[in-house]
Amino acid sequence: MEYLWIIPFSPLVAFIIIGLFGYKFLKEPLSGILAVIAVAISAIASVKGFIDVAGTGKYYDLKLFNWLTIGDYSISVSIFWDPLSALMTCVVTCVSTFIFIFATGYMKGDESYPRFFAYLSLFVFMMLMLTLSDNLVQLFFGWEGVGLASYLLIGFWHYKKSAANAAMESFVVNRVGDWLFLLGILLAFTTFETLDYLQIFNKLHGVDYIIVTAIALLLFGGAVGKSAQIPLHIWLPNAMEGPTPVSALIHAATMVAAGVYMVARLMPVFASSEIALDTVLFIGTMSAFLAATMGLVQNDIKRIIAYSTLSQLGYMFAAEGLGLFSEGMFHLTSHAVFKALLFLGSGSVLIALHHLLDVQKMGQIGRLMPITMGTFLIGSLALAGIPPFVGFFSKDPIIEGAYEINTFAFTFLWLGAFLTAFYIFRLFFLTFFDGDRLDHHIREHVHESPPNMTIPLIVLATATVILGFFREFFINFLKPSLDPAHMSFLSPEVKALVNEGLSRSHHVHIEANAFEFLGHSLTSLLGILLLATALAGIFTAYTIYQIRKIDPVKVGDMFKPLYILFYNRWFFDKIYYAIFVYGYYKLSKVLWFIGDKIIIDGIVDGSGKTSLFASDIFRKTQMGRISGYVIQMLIGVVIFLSLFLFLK
Amino acid sequence: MVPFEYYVALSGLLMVLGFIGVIIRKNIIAMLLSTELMLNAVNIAFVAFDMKLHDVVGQVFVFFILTIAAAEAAIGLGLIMAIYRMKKDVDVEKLTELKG
Repeated sequence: MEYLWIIPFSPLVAFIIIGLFGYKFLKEPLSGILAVIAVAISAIASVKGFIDVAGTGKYYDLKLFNWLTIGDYSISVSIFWDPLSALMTCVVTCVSTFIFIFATGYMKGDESYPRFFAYLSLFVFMMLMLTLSDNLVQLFFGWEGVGLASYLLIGFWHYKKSAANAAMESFVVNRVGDWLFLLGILLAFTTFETLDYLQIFNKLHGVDYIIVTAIALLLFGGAVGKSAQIPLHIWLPNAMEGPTPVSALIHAATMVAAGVYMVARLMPVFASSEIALDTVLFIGTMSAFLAATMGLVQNDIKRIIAYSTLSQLGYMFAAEGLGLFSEGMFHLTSHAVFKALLFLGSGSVLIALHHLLDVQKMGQIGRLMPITMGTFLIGSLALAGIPPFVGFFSKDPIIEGAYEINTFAFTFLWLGAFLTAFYIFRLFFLTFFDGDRLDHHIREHVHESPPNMTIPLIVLATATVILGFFREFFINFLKPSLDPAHMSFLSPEVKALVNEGLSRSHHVHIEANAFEFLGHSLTSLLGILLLATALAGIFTAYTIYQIRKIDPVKVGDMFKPLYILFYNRWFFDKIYYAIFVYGYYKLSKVLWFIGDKIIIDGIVDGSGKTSLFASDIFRKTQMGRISGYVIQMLIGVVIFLSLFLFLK
Repeated sequence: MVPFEYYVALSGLLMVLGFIGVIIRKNIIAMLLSTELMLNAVNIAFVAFDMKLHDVVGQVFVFFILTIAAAEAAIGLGLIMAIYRMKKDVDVEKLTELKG
């Protein structure tokens, strides 16, 4: 398994080469091609590793080199290769490969072309450091690294003020989560005296319940920031200011899923605490529902998909909170594929429409861009949860599991499923069909994208169609990492502890085999209900936005308060701005006035003013008349003489 | 023989006259003359005390002072000439370059 070290370091080498020689020697096509080759190499290596580990179900813990030593504990840069990290690494590298190919077309003609691919390669390296880590410090290194890459890429067009602001916002909001994450790591270190996952897991049974809960909640705080869950979600929709391949890769498929991966990776820690699992479930459910409502009324094509990302990440967290970790990871995989497809599809639309973002101004471009339209439809159907697309096989089990375990979560996830189907087909109809609202000058130039953009779309669409049928394979593949009965790296006591933590999901039986699951869905009442919900969402969108039987403006007027609430995104942004941005601004103003203006300026100006005032008195003695000076001198002589005489 | 107090009194008188001259005169040349007067008052005081104390050091000092006074008068007059050339005036009331 030694060849695994190629996986993270191939993109790093690409980053260094493009970063150093990109502008001078490689220039436009070559730097993109180099980045694609580098990430393709790591994709091939990770697929090979995936196949190796799929056969055996073993885990490998390779220590590459020692990084630093703290007391008795030394942190090493390492590769931990088990089914979970293999799956995540494969998702990252494979999706990256197609998005990189797409980006060579999307970024064509951009003057910062080499810089873009340097940043993307850096991102992939950092993401792989995160997924391949065997300890919390390397995880945190990758965690911060992807945050940096995300910041650089959101602000890629830094001359646009909105992009620079969005980059700053994402960095600051992520800092809140990262701060909690760091506290979690420190608490874990003081508790376990080690940061290696396997050692932490095997020390779990002796630790106080409250401390485990605190560690899990603090680490989850980091996941909330990185995965943009409520209440730290506000940065992700604004992050759409970045180029579309970035939105597809970082803000849909991989980086934002890092939180989900981290919770799954530390499954034994989370499973040891009921409160932690309940928190994960609650935050995930609320994000899934609230983000879906926000997505209903947006008009920016990328923002709608961004809210959908928030919502789907909520589903993944909800699955983990329910104890269905494998389902959560399977949904992560499927979401990475179909959401990358949706984003790349919207990127293809944006290129054709010269970066027109407002869906209300599009329409009837489906005929002009058949490949984009077809693949986008497949992605939308997958997101809505229609069989046989992968979204159906990954999202419906979560909702069915919620029905068995927690009615509250089920209600919101079920409503969210309806809203999901509605908003994505609202987007679909408004963009590709419906009336002709597009500017005629733009319409004349609309054409299908070049092959280096359509081929990734077709590949991802194909994956969206067929991946769902591998459901049984994925669930079984993940067992050695996520099913306590099969986790060979846990001691028996910890296995019992984790098993008890996951007891909430023990009575749930979801068909692993795709065909059995499909059959079950079509025969059981719950399965039919869920399918009907998705179809109802699509049908509602069809009646409102395609055949225009119902006027959307009237619907908006009818539910005016709700419309205002959704349109303003539940006022999260405004409240945060009022409290944190303006609050901070006002606090700074007060401190500026008291600290700077009164105290510091008071001292500086005061000393100047004192000497001015004193000098103003004393300068009167310099009258410029020699006789005056002589009298002063005489008085002085008399005073000193008399002093001499009298004090002697 | 004239008692030495008379010399001291003369010296003091000349000193005061010199002071008054410096203070009340506005002509810079007159002021220079007044300072010369004060210098000579000091010389008289030196000689008077020398007479009282029967010592010659005081008289030696007087010669030194006379020599330096000659040089000082030359410099003083030179400065006055320079001022006069610059300002076409020797009235100290009008020389207010240092007034703040």
